[in-house]
Amino acid sequence: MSDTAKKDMSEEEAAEFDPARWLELYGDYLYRYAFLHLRNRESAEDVVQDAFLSAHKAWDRFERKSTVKTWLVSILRNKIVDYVRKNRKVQTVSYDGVGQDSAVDESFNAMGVWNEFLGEWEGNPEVLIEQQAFLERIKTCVKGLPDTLRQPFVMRLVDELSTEEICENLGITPNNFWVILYRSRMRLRKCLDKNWFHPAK
Amino acid sequence: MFTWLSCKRYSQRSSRKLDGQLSLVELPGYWFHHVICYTCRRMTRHFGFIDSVSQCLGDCMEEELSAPGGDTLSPEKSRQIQAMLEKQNSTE
Repeated sequence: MSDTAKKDMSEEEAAEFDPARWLELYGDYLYRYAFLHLRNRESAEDVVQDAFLSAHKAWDRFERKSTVKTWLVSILRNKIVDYVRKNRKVQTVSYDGVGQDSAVDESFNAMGVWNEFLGEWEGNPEVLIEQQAFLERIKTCVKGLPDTLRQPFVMRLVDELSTEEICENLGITPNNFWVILYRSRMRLRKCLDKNWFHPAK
Repeated sequence: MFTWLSCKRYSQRSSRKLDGQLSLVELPGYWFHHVICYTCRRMTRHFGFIDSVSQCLGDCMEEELSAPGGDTLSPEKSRQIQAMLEKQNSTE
């Protein structure tokens, strides 16, 4: 970056463009982002370190089309995806494989009919999410999803990635992804029902 | 022409319908079951609720990531990263 360009920046902007200050400005944010995806402190710290290193090497090619923070997050996301790919257990399920999830399976009898009574859920989702207690409850439910379900779910939620991007990143087929979303919804439905709407059941 | 769906198969289709993935061939069976099964209609409302909440949750998680006082990098790892960045700077 030219000296003239640097002079035109505010102090805050200048800090953003100083790699030596990235750790101070974005270190904790990136760590929380990585931890949200990986749920493991050591792995999250390692991918953050890799991301900083890659960002530093690529700094000359940064074109200022986004903020530095967004750019760092995109690099970190790639590092997370690499990590997930390397450590992922083989996860290829067909749509018929849905029944292999015991948490889903136990909701139905052998004929595929509900085993349980489904009570009504009272309340407007947009109002409920404003309540801290409800927010904590649903976050706990999401965190309680197995890795294979949580990662694609969080990629959809937090990263707002398209189905194509998620499938490409995780090396799964769209059919796998629909199964993952189905299992996630079923588990979250059960978790919310048990822990919020009908705790006494 | 459609085949009778079990509640389990209906719940799978209901999930795919939320993602816009239900084919025209699958729709008649889906709707027939939807009309006659009270429990499955309720489950569909639960799925819709979860999707609505999930969209809001994405925004909440973004706020949580930026909030002061949350989890932080360990001091040891921070030192390692800072040293690495400084080393990179000095080699340029």
